[in-house]
Amino acid sequence: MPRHKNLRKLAQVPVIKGLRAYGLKTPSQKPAVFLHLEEYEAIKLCDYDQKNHAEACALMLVSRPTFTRIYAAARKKIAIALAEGRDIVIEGGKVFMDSNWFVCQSCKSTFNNPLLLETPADCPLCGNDDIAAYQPVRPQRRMVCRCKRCGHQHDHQKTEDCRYSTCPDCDGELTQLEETIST
Amino acid sequence: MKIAIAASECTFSATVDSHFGHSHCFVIFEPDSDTVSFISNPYRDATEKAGEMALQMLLKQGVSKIISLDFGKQIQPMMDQQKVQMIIVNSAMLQVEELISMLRKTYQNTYNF
Repeated sequence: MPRHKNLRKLAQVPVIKGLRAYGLKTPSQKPAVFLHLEEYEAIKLCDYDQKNHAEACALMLVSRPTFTRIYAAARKKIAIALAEGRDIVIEGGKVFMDSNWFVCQSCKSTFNNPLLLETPADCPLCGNDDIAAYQPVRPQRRMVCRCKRCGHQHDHQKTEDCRYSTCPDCDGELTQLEETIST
Repeated sequence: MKIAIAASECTFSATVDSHFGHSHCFVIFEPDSDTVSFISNPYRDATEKAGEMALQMLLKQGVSKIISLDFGKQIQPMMDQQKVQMIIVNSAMLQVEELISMLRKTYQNTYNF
């Protein structure tokens, strides 16, 4: 059994369901090309938003080689449609969409909105209508220099190279550490 | 519509569980008929994909909203795909009883006008 495909993240659904070829001299009997949603997203990120593959693969939550494969498949399909005069249908594919999160100001619970097109009016738990978009709190970090011997520490100065400076209290060796500031 | 609460025990005094997939019990509340049922989670000791299997079980019951203290990173995209609403409560001390009375108030108000 082949390994299952990881879901690719889609930022927004495409504005169209597909494209139709016109002006053919003889009506084409060939079926439409099915462009998957992840392939549409790859083309959009790379060629419309002008992102490079590394940025685009991070947005779609896939690995870099996988992104390249999706992108190559997308170009191939579009080329087939152009050369053979076939319609393009954007459909299918292994994708998920990120639903947006809200926080209720009354009961402080967080909830998402599975119906992407409608904005919720009130909290599903307490029914209060005082809701706001949820913004994740990112922990703040700072660099500190700590003495290995006596535990003395001070804020790291960007101009200073701690490997070559010593502790002002006991002349011990200093190490650079990343500290999370809890708020 | 049915609302599931991930609880640490199958009682009304139980608290909300900190992990959806490995919670001991699911309390299913149905506002339309005002009924509460308890389902013991058979996948609570599963080493992997507990959340996925529990979600499938709840989907068969027709659950559309799930209340828990936390949802894992793997289960969140699946819930998005199945259009299940996730509600993360703020306090770990909230009891099933309090949650149900909150839900009862909310959903009976909406259905009564």
